[in-house]
Amino acid sequence: MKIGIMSFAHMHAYSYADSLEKIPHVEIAAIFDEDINRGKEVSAKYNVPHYSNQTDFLNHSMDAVIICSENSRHKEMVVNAAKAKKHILCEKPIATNVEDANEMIEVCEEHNVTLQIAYPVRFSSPIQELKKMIDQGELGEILAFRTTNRGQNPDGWFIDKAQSGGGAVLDHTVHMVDIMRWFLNEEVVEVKSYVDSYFHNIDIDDVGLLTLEFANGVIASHDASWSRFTEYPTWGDVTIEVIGTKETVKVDAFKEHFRIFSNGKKSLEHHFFGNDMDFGLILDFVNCIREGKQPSITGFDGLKSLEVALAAYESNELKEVVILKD
Amino acid sequence: MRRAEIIGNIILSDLEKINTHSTLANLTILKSLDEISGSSNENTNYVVATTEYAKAIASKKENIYLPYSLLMEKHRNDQVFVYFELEAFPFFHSFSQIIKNEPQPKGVFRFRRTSSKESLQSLMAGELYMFSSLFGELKDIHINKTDSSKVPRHMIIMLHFENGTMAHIEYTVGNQEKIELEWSGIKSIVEFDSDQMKPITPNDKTKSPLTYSVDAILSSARVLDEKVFLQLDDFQKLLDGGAQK
Repeated sequence: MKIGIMSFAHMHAYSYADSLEKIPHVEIAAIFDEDINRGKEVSAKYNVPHYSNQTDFLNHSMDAVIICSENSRHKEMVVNAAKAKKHILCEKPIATNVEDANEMIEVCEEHNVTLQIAYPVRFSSPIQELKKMIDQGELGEILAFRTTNRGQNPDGWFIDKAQSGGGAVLDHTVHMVDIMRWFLNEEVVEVKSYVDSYFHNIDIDDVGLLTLEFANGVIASHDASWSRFTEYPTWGDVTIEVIGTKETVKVDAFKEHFRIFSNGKKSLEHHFFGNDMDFGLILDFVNCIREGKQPSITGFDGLKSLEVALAAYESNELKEVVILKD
Repeated sequence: MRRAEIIGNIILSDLEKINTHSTLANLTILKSLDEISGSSNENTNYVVATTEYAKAIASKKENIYLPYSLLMEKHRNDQVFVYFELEAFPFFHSFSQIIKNEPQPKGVFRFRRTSSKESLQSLMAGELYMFSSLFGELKDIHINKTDSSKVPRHMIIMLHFENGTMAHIEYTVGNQEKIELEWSGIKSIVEFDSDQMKPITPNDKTKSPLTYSVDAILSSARVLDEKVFLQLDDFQKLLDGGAQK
C-alpha cells in the first residue's frame, strides 16, 4: 500500500511517517509540502519524492493520504484528496468550523473514500483497557468523567487563530471529548466553560476549563491548556477518571515512565516507555483501508468533538451554558 | 442532670485525623466527655469525637473548638471557636503559603475531595470560603450534580474568581477519604494527591497525610462574625441552587 503525506506543518506528521515505515508492505509514496525547505528535508529523511504542487502530488500513484497541515487547510486538502479518490487520515481537529467539517464528510461520502480522523489516544493501551472494562460492565453505569489534556505551547501557526481556528481549548479538548463519546456512546448536550490566555502572553487562548453534560445525564469536567513549561518533567498529560456505580477507575495514558534526575536545566525528566499510540492509529488506518472497513474514527466523530470545543468558546463569550443538539 | 462545667479547651474532631506526634499542646484524647469527672484541668485540651457535640455544648459555652461542618445554626451566637478542616491540614497550609507568595496568583486550580461524609453541603460551603479567601471573590459559579438516586454521588463546581483564577472543585461521596489538588500557575505547577503522598505502605496503615495537629486547630480556629456567616450562607445557597452569582 502506498500512502502520501500532505504537509508536515503539524509535528505529528513525523511520528506518522515513522509509523508507516514500520508497517510491512506499506510505503510512503510521496510528500506534499508548500514549505520548500521543510519538504526537501523530509523528502531526504524518508527518501521519497517531494511535491510543492498539490495537483502534481495527487496525480502520483498512491492509495491514501495523511493530512497534517495547518487546521485551516484541512478542508481544502481533504476535498482535493477525496476528488482524487484517495482515502484520507486527517489530523485533528477535523476543521476550524462546523460548516467545513460537514462539507468534508459529504465530499468523502460522494467520492466513496474513507475519511478517518487522527485521534491517537484511542490507541493508548491503558485507554483501551479502560474501554474494555467499561464494555464488560466492570464499572457499572457511568455517572461522571474527569479529564485533562495539558501540554506545552506548540507555538508557530498554532497560536495564529487564522490558521489554527483556536488555541489550547480547541487543540486539547477534542481528544478527550472523543474518548468520552467513545466510552459512553452518547453526545454532549451542554457546555459551560471559562477560556483565557494566562501563560504565554499570546493573542490566543492557552487555558480553558469545561463542564459538560451528556444526553443521558453523565457530567464531566475537562482541563485543557498549554500550561506546561519546558522545565516541567514531561510535555504534558492525558488523563481520564471514570466514576461508575460499581467502580471508579483512573487512567493516565503517560504514566509508564522512568524518572530521570540530572543536574541540567531540567532536573527531573519523565521518560515514557509505554505503547506508541501514534503507531496504533496508523496501523488501524492501514488495516481499515486494506480490509475495506468503515474507519474506526469517522468524520462524524471529528465533527461532534469539534462542536464541543467550539461551544466552549461560545460559552465563554456569552458567559452562559451552550446547548448542543444531541 | 446539669453537667459540671469543664475547665480547659474541648476540641471536637475526627479522632482518626489527629496527629498526636506533631502536637505540642497538652492533650488528652477522650472517648467521651463523661470520662472527665469533675477534675478537668484548665491547661488541657480535651479532644473528643464530633459525636460529643451536644454534651460539649451542654457542658460549657466557651473554649469549644469545632469544625464548621458541625456548627448548628442555633449555636452561632455561642461564641464557639470554629475551624475549617482543610485549613488545618499541613498540605493545605503549605499550599496557601505558596499561592500567597506568587507574584501573579492567577491560574487554574483543581481540587477534588472524596469523603465518606454523607452530608457534604456544609463541608463544601466551608471549603468554598477557604478558596475564596485565597483567590478572591467569586465572579461566577456553575454546578453540575449526578443523579442523586445513584451512588456514588458526584458534584462538579466550576468557579471563576475575581483575580482571574478559574477552578474545578469536585466532591464525591465515597468510602474513603482522599484529596487531590493541582495548581497550574505562570511558571509554577503544584500537584498533590493524598494517596500518592502516604508515608507508609500499604496505604491503609496510615491516615497521613490527611491528618492535623491540635496546634493547627487551635491556631486556625476563630469565632466567626456575622459577615463570615453571611458569606458562608451565600455559598450554601449557591450549592443548594438557590442563588445565582
